Amino acid sequence: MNRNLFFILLKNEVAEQFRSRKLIAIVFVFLFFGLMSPITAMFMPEIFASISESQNIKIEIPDPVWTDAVVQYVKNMSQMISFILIIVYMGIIAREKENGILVFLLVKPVGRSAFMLSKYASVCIAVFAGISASFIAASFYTFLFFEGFVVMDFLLLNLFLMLNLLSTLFIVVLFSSLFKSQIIAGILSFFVYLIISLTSQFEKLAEFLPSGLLVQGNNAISGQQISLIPVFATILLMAACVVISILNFRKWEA
Amino acid sequence: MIRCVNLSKTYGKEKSPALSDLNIEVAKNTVYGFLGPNGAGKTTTVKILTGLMRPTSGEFFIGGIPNNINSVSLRRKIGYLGQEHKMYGGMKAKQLLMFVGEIFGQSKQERIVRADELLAMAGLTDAANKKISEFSGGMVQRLGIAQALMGNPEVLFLDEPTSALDPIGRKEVLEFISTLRESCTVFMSTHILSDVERVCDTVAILNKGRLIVQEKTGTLKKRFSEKLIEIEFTKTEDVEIFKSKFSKSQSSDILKVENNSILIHPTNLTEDKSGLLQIIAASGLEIEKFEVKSATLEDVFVKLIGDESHE
Repeated sequence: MNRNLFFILLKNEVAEQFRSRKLIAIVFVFLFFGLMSPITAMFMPEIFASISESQNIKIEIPDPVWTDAVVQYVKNMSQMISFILIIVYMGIIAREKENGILVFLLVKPVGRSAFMLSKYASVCIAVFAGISASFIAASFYTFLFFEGFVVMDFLLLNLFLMLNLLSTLFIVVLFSSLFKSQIIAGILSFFVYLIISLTSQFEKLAEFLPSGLLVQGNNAISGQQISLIPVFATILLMAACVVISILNFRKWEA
Repeated sequence: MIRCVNLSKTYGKEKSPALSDLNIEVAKNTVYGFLGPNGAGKTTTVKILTGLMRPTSGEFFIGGIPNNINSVSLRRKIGYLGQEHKMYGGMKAKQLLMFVGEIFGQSKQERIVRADELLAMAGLTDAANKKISEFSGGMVQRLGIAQALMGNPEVLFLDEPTSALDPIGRKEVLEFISTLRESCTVFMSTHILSDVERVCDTVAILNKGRLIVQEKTGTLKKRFSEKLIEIEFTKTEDVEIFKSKFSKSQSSDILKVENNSILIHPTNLTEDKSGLLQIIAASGLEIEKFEVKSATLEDVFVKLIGDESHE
């Protein structure tokens, strides 16, 4: 594979995501949830208290601690953000098949593996940019509002979370490369995401799937021992996505 | 420059092939018109020759070298503008050409020089820093050809380059294409006969996936018909009366009936001319025009495609 060409395509893909405001939107959404999670955790008890007062009901809510902010953060990231990422990236290749951009590129001396790898790398950059923004925002406000916040544990949780989100996106890119319709790619990606999320209910099974990463993230926060099995299992799953999409894409005809 | 040997393509489980045993040769530095009605197999051929599609059987050579679908070396030699091509709308014209040059491994200086040269050739110098999404149809098409030329291709493939353009846009693009034969070989697929007649040195006519003829444009026109007779009637009903009388008495062919006009391919011009005038006079038909004219490529095309359908 021509390494130079890979970087040219990657630069173009990131620039295109920037030009189409996709990248800006993604970073903004991450930032929003990064900000909202500690703010919600901090002020939710007060909101509940004011509602219950007006209704003449007494609800006892314990004072929030920093881990409440983190729990809120993980929920938002693993559910809302995953869903948004599927919607935004389901057409990453399928839409280019539909509108002809793919043909524009593939009649030029562009290796198909380099093209596919540039797509995977571009989503890694987008998630990295997004999670960096949410990590900084969430850390700042959690540190500001709560006592005892351990930033290194939170950083470790974010690494698990990033890998979890990337696994979802790699599945999206795979389906987007397999199908001509971005809607089909999106539906199938969501379906697989749902199945993987449901497996988090089964601890033994989750250990070998990306959903186990969230369990390890929680372990990092609560000071429990961390297992790296979900990390390796997820990396293996992501590698499988890359290999299948490249092999299939080599046979693709316009 | 391009040679196809028994090139065939059948899609999926379809019984009839989209392309059947195509054998063509395209000379270097010529504009080659690949002509045929919609669905004749033109786009299929172009997709195979540009490495976007696999043939079911047969092979093809560009510059003497056999090629296949994943051949990067093939794509270094060619430029391509598809029928419904799309470029990055958010990019500016020069930015797009610079990106294409980068893909071809050109240095920054090379890219700048080539991009400026092509923008000038395409008449887009003033629009170099304008977003592509703001371009008119003709400008997009000329930029499409410019980007296809950015890598200094030996062969430029154009699939229906003028079909979506208005008359002014078409004129601009055809003038641009006719200047290209000095630097490369142009393979242009189209169903617009006047475009071929205007810019192509050689023409191949394809119908239902089969090559009917491949000839120099001038020779083809000479070979198939030197003179035609066109009669324009005043009333539409006279066309039918004429046709019924004509079929009983003449050995010549009616090539085309359009509105009140009939185009006839005479077997013997002198005899047929007087025979036709006799029919008109004897039947009391009113005519606006009776003209002996040279055949256009369109007339040849209609005759060839018509003959194919009757077989």
